[in-house]
Amino acid sequence: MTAPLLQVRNLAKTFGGTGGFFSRAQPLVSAIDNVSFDLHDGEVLGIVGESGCGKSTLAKLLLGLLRENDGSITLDGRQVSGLPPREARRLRSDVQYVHQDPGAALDPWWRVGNTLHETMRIHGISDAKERETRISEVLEAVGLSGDFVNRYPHELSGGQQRRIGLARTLALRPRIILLDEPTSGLDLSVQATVLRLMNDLRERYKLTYILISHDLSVVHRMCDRIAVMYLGRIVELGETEAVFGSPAHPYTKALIGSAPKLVRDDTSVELIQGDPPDATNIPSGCAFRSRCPLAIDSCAATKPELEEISASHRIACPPELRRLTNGPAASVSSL
Amino acid sequence: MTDTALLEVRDLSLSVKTDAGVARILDHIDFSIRRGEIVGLVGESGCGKSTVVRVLLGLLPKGAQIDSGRILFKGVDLLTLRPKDVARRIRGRSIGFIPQDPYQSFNPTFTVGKQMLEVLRWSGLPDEAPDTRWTRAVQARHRAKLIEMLEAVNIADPAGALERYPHQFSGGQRQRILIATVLACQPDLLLADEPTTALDVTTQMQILHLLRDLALDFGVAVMMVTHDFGVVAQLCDRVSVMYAGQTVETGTAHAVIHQPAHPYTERLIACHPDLSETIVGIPGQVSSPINPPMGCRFHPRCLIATDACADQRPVLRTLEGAHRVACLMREAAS
Amino acid sequence: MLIFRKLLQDVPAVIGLLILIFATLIAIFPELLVDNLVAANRGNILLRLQPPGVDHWFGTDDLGRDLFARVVLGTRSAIIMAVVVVLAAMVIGVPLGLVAGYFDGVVSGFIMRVTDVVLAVPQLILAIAIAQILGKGQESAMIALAATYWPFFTRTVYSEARRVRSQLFIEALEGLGASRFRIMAFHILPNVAAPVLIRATVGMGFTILTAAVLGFLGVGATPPSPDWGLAISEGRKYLPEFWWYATFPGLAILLLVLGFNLLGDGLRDLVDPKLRRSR
Repeated sequence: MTAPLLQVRNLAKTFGGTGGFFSRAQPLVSAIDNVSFDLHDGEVLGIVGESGCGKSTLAKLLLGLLRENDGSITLDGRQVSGLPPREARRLRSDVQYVHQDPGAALDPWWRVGNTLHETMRIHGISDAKERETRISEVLEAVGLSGDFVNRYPHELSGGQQRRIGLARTLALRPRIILLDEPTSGLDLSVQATVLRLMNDLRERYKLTYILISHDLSVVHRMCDRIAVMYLGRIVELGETEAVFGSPAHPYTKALIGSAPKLVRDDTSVELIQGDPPDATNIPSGCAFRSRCPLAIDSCAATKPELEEISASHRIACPPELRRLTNGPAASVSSL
Repeated sequence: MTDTALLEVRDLSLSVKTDAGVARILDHIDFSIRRGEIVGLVGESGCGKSTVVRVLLGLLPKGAQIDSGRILFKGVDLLTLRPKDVARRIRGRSIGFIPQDPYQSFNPTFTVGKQMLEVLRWSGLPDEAPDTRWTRAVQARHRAKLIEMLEAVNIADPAGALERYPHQFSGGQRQRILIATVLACQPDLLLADEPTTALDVTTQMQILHLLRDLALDFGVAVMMVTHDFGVVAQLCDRVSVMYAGQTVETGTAHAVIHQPAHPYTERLIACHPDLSETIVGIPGQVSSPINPPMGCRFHPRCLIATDACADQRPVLRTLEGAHRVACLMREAAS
Repeated sequence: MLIFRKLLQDVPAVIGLLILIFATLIAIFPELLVDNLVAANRGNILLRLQPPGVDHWFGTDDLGRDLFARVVLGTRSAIIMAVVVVLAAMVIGVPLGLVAGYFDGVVSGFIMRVTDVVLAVPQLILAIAIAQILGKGQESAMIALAATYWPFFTRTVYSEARRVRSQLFIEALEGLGASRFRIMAFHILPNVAAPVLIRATVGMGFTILTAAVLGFLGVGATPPSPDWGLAISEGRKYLPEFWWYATFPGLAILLLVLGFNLLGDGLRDLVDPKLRRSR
């Protein structure tokens, strides 16, 4: 296998801790804890998790908007971590971002065309002709007509806002696009067209996607590989088929089992109880143990690390529990 | 389950005056809910399902006008009552409401208990006379009732929970507390407007199951507004599908999901991830309620539409049993 | 312009606008109303303290100068005062508010604490003190007023900038790597412009009032300039027999301040109809 395009090793980020001169001290929150993964050229990596799992913080770290406390990020063989945000962002212009709510990501006072121009100007494309060419090209690519440049953000529908968000990012010719909840707030019938467009664009521009979502069905259909996050840590990482076909971590199982299915079948649903704990109050050892149906005493002692259970499928759950979950009466088939 | 309809919405049409013209938000809506039944009201954004909820609660949107129809609740037409009477006698008492976003449903500056008591103070417990004075004894009774309800929705330490502030609860817990408050008044009908969309997946299922169990225990009928056929399959006995302000199909949840009769229902169910490995959608956009297409409102996006569909508005016709559909092509086929 | 048409439907705001247009016109072209501008400054002791009449519409003052001409000429200095003071306060206050609102940290903490300290002292008292130190004259009054009015802008801009900064499009721009200056100047500033303009309109009315008080107390304009505050101060000695001497400059202040406030309220209602007309 060729060297990965993006390599993330032991990434960590904490918030709060000490207070400033004029402000009170905030409680220390560990948002991202020891996250490692590779991203290969041309693949779609899904990052799944519920609110508060650290998805957005991870995105900001990858983009260089936040400075990591620990760990390294290597882009195309070059070390791009350990720098202050501004510097880091400059080095990572190959990585761009499409917002969860692309309508709100547009300045309400600016016409779409001005925003597109400005986006490129910020990236040093000073030739106005060049910018015009790119704008008409990317608008065509996302399936919008040229007169959309004269619209204001509030004049766009939800689907059109997503398209403008994509066009804005594409105009910068990135190699990696971070898609943050690309379908949230869209109707099912519109979701499909947006997802299909993203697939087409990926082929046309040879893009690599990192898709962040809480919607398992979107991730299932779009991604080659999936990382499942819980409270700042990756608990399961593997190829889509493996993760959905034989989910191994109890949290992944609960996630997959919780999606409302079209066939009512109460027996197969393994519901987990309670809500995710507060990020200021993460349980010791395995963060999931407070809700885990299988938790044993030793789970409180050590944080489980990602371990390989098959080729390209890794989970963070100790082997003695794994035997329980993968025993003869495997619940895998019922999921 | 008894056969008498608790709520019957017949031929309800509503329009709203806007700057751009008159918008027909609801166009001949038709459904019913029997006692103790869970009915799903399904449709995409802009189909008018939230407007139906507001009309049932007696909260007409500004500039709205009822063009036709009746809303029979326990035999009384709600549309003939004065808004004041709906507010005093129906809303919050006979008809409870669970809003979409539990994060915005509480006032952050008061304790949960104070806000729950306030609700009971105005609606009263069902066995109390309408003009019961809010004495200490009554208040203590209300408190006891609330603690009992919080236990029923699996809130740990119910007495302590009453003294805490909304931000000390997670979204799922807040939704449980809302459900407890609403059920304490023992309504006959519960309107739930997408009660789980703001919640995480793992919490969503807990709430859905809780709702189903409580509806059974308390004998409450539930109208579940949702856009997700998965939720309908897991929860509902019957379902009514809306498109652009019109009821297009209604029937048992099983029949509608497994033998959808209307092309829109069919396409919408096909979008569900269970059924498609590939990504399916419905091309086109929901038509604007101002100057909607003539005839069937779905015909511009329909794959089997003919010229007749653009001329004639289809009405709900019985297919078999309770399964009814509004589609000309279906009529022609049978 | 839809916004302008909506403003025209607001009767009090239109009245305010008309007052201001009229005041601005006579400030620029006082000869429209007064034939003999020289008479405003040349007294005639034989005509002192004449009551209002055909020759002298507002009467004459203790030196026999025509009060009407002096009130008209006073409009110019009042408006210049208001505009200069508010503009200067904006030039100081708006950038400080932007910086404090956009950044976190010691600098913005420092700016806001200084702002709070200045705001904690009543503006008039602080302005009197500064004007007293700088010496008499209109310039020192203007400096004193500008030096005490900028925190109002800093506060307004600060809270608005905080609100705008938390919106997603600012985050998106940061994600694109836009410079801080670009974000502040092209994105935050236009989004805070409306409240700043409202604050400026109301502030001009307020400044005229404060400037009149400074003139009245003798720390502002000096004789023989046709300052309204000064005129009231001088006319006070002749009350109540020669009522017109203090009354007409006072009415002029009232009218102009009313104009600014009505327009300011109208603008605020335009931007946010939820804020009800206060007062």
